Amino acid sequence: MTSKTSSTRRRKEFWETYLWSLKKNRGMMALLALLMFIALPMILMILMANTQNRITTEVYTPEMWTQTYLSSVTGLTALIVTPMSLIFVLVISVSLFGYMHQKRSVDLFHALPVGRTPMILGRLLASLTALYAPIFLNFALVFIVGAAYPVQLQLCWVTVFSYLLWLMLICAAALCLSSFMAVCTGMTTDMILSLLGINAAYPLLIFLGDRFASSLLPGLNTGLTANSLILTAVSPYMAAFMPYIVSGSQARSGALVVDTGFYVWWILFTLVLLAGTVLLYQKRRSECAESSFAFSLPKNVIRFMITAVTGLGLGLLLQSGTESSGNFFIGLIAGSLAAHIVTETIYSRGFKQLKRSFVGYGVFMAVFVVTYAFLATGALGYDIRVPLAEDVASVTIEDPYTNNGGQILDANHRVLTSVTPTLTEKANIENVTEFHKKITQDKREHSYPYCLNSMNGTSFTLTYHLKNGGTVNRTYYLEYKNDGQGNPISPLGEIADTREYKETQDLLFYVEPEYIKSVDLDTRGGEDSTTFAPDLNTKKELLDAMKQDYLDGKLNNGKDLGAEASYLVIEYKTPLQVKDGKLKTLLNGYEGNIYLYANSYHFLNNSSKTGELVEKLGWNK
Amino acid sequence: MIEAKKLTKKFGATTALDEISFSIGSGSVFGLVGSNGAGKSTFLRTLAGIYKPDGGEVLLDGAAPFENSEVKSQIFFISDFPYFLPQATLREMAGFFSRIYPGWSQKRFEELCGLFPIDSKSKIVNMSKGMQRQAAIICAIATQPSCLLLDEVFDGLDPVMRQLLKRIVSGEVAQRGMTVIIASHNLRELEDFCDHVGLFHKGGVVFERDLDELKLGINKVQAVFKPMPEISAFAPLEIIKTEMHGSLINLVIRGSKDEILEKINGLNPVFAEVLPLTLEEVFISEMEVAGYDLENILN
Repeated sequence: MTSKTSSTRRRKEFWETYLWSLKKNRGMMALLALLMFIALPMILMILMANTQNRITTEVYTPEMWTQTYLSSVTGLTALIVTPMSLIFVLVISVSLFGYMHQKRSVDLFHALPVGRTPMILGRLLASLTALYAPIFLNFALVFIVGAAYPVQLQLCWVTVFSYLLWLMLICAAALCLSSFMAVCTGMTTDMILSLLGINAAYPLLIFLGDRFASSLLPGLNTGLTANSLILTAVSPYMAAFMPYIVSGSQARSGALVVDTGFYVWWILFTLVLLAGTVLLYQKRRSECAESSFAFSLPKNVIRFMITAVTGLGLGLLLQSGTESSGNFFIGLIAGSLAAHIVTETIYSRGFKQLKRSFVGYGVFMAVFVVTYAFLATGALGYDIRVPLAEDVASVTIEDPYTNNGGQILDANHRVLTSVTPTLTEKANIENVTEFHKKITQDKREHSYPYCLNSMNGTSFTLTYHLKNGGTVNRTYYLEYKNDGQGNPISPLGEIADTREYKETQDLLFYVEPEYIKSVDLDTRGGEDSTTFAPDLNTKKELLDAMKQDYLDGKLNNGKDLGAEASYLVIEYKTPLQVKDGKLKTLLNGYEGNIYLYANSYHFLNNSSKTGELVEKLGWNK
Repeated sequence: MIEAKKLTKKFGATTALDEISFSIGSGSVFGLVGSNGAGKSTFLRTLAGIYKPDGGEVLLDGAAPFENSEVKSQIFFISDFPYFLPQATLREMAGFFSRIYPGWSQKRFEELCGLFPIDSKSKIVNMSKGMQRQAAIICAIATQPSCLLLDEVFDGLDPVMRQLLKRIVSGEVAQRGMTVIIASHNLRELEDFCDHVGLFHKGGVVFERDLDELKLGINKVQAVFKPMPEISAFAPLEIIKTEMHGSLINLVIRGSKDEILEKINGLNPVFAEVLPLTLEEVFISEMEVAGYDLENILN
């Protein structure tokens, strides 16, 4: 009975807090709705109307309308709506959680007959409502605008919805991080500074940490890319833009590139922060208002990150300019010390706590020294670890001068896979492991213990796929030799000349004749080209001839073969439905439509089979 | 009934309340007096459920207020600098409190708005300090609390408003049995308002007792002796403070008037009279006993 009464009371407290907080933020909500209307549906309406005015005399297909609509929505969302929403997250957070940072307001709110859990949750839900209502409203208007034009909404609702979903999720994550920081800090300025600190310092720390480790430990490959989850894992204000950046570089349709893992992480992150906010708020001492921090852990973590980022950043900058490890250490110490003092001075509003704070600086230096020693001595044998050939199922080699196979894209123009040389034959694998051992031994003999280098040279990556399901990944930076004609020589030597290497190196060996749409041929040294659309048999003949020439070194897709060579471009049909065969195997049985980039090749006119076929078909006349 | 049992509250290295124990009966008007930093406001905030005790407990009718909405709904705290929602009017504050306090009486609110010369539709932030306190008092009384906590509530109120406040609060105490705890340095105001008083000093309670009993239990004696007896002659008296000016001696003595007069007359004074102490004099005397070196501070 008591429990039921208590639960009813808590619900009432939550509801009253929610309603009051929402009322307090109704102005902000209306402002966001108005600004978002201007930024999204209004500009979209203008863009669509302009398109309609422009095309009165020409044919504009529904596909073209859809493309215009999608690119406008996605561009506006990425460039205006997302930053605007994040700014409002911050403003609403300050408005609704700033009360904890003033002794007078704490006296009022903590004396109210409202439990802390319903108080913080009611405010959080009100903040979400104040953010989500304008977002929902404006995205609904976006659909209505689309419906007013011949846009294929059935094709693009998923994309628009994915933008909406991502925006909602990242706003919730940013809001929970803001509320968490509000609970941990004693002043609103510290809350804002901490939010800026963690959102800027964390991604930089991961990036610079990766650069530092990769510069020090030969072969280290962390696999860090722009869309790596870890890069922005605790920085929602930065993570909000990563999918747009990645989709901008990978996709043409405007589809948002957000992996399921990204969604899962940010849902978990939001829930963990939510739980952390509620738990810490229950433990928060009211008297912490107007003091430095209610819980000092975030302050120490942020100060550590800013210290590390500045130290590593300045160190690597000085080192890259001079190739001197000594300069790296000077930059590291100067940068980190200055950052530590400035951060501490800002947080403590003076130098009073500075002496004590050097314990934190000592922790940073200890972590750095241990990490440096660990990496410089080979990270417990990481530098010389080469898998046994008998344990390797296959090895993939990424060598920028012999990899020209190209990428295979899905219907949304996202990269499904790349055509990369992959060796499975035992002898070839043994050759690769021997080659790899030579590299590691060379590094050990000449530069152990390791010093920082600037990762000069060309990156060269070996990926071993082990029989036990694991992978071993190593990247080295090598200086490539030149063949005298400006063509770099692969350090792989004979390995790069094996049949298996070549057959897995280029898309030619994966495609079927019917995938080819047309052939562009230029036999006059780039003066002009002619397009041919051969029949299926001719395509098959051409493909066979090109494959043979590729294996014989008379055709390639990179090297200049001199004046006696011609230039040929294979255009593939789009979109392409893959049939059973080598390409489908490469795509792990992928069933959807794919897109292949056009590939260009040089071939010798006289001595190659391709040249003979071109002659026979009369294409060179 | 309010009970503090070994109540302790610390702010870092500072102990604001050091295992204080005392009780306040329901329906009383309890004055909290003490030196600056004695812990009066800390006690009120702890009782209001704002601060969590670091040791011991404070109870209202047997229940601790911290994170206990049921108890807190019976308490209203007016701090020394009352806070109002940004840009709110008195009516908006009333709307806010009415949703949260189950005992809210709109009728009482309207009555109080009629009693105090305050515009309920004006923004509180634009009001004077005294008007803001009036607004806080109106809201507090309208929530119909069983325990009203007031911190320096007389500050900024003009004499008429002080009397009005006392009358209204006394009425609530009489009609509803409301308990009032009022922390103030304005001892003259407390003197004719409180029935009990507690003296805080350095986080401890020097004493707490009925005000009449307190005032009757300490007396000031002015006497003229020719010649002045040895100071040891006064030993049977429980002297708190002694001042001698030639043949005139002023004594603050603990005990009843008759008892003191009898003992003084036994020393054959030329003249002797027993005067009642004001609360301020009691406060100063007791504070000196507690180690509050008034002379040094003043010098």
